Amino acid sequence: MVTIENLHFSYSRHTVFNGVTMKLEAGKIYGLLGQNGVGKTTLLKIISGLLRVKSGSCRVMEHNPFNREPGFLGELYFIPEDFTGPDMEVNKFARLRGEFYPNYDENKFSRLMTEFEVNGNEKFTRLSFGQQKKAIIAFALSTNTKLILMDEPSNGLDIPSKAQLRRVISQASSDDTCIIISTHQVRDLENLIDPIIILDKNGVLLNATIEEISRKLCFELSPMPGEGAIYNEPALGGYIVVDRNRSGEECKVNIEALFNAVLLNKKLIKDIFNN
Amino acid sequence: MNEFFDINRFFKLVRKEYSERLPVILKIAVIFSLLLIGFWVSVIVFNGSEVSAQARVLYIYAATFLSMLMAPFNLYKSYNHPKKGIDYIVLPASAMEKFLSMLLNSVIVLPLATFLGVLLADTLIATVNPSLFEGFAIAKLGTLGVVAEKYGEAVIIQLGFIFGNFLFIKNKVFKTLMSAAGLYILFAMVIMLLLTTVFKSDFEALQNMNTSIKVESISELGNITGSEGLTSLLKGFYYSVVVIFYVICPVAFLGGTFYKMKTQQY
Repeated sequence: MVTIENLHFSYSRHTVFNGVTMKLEAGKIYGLLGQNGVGKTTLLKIISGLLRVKSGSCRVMEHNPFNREPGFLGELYFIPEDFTGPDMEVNKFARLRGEFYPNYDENKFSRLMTEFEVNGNEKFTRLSFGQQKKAIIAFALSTNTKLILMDEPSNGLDIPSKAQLRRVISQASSDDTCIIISTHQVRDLENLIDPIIILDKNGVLLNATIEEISRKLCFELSPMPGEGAIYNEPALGGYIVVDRNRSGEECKVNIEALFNAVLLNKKLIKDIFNN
Repeated sequence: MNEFFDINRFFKLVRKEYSERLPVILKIAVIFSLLLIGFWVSVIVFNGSEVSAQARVLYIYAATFLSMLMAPFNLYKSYNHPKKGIDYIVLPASAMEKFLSMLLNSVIVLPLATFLGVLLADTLIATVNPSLFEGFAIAKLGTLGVVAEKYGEAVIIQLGFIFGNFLFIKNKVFKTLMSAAGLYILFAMVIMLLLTTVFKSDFEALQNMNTSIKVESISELGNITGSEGLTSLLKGFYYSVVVIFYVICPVAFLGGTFYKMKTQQY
């Protein structure tokens, strides 16, 4: 679906990517994690054709995304972090744009709007930020595009809406679609995103499925810090300990602890996952 | 599916654009019509003298021209906005289709709406109050050829403003006006430089001649006859201006706008 090879990108003198390589496949919901400024949004913009790569290559569904060909754009939807809708009714917005997407499903849009409890007859400008976000997510999922890119989709959503968001995204996922979600709020999307991609300034630190992570790492709540563990984090009732999985038994992945463990042990984690 | 231009997709886009931008188009047309109505009311209130149809024709042309200059900044100001522009750029239509639909709305739909709106207001007022609004402006618009020539020249200037709208991200109007002024000064300097260096002898001969030259419009320079050196100098100047204004400028503005639309990064 997405093939990125030796990607270099910079904003004038500020280098964002320096030789990033990764492959993203259909049928998965990728979680794109990283600290502020490592280039999560930039990566999504490159994939959706909003930015041009300086060197290296990015191919999306066999297209060069920056050519922005209609056939390519009809199979991709990008939801920016701070989406602000135009001064028009949500239903009209969806009807006018839906025509351009070959697989747009108006009934699905109505169903998702009902599920999100957003009135489609209201203008965007009369909706709260969270409601606007839910409306655009409903539209994005109704386009049935092969690739959906979401930048911080849970930002601005209340607690029930986050649960609704997880539900509708998991329902929208199919073997043909690839969803990439960039987020800081890993807890909002836990049990949804798989595989996990962790970026840092020098490239991809981790790109692994939850199954692979749980096979190689072990996450435990322990009364004491783990001796020689990869990472210890104080928590209620003791410490979250991240260590190599020596028993071979799979354990539940704590994405937040994983993220911190990866950031503090970049080389070690790369070694563990490259082997 | 044709990735460069598809007529069905283009019509879909035009329908979408028209549907979304109609309120702005109508708002501008109504504002210029209300200005004329406001003027009529003020003439009544302050016992002003009658307003000739010729003067109102001038207003109709000025309003239409102003609406043309305002069109890109009102209808497409967000196109290159780093956040607001994303919605339009990821819409599955080609850059050429977006470019042509933008031109359609800016060059034809909005000016036409303003022109017809003001003309309608004038006709209504002239019908209701013929003593103040003497005659109908619609009868004094001029021949189709004159209207087409004025419109064509207005479009060329508008294309510069359209390019400015896509070239600048912030303070678009100010920067476009400043760039236009800069280009004008640059052009004048180049002409002066040519006259005082390359065509120095012709220019000096012109200064020493006991002849007055009255030129009503730039096109009259093309008809000039007389002194061989002077004629070729003025004709050369005329053809240079014609080529720059009617060929180079529109091609550069259109090409630049399309290039910016195609390669804008967000």
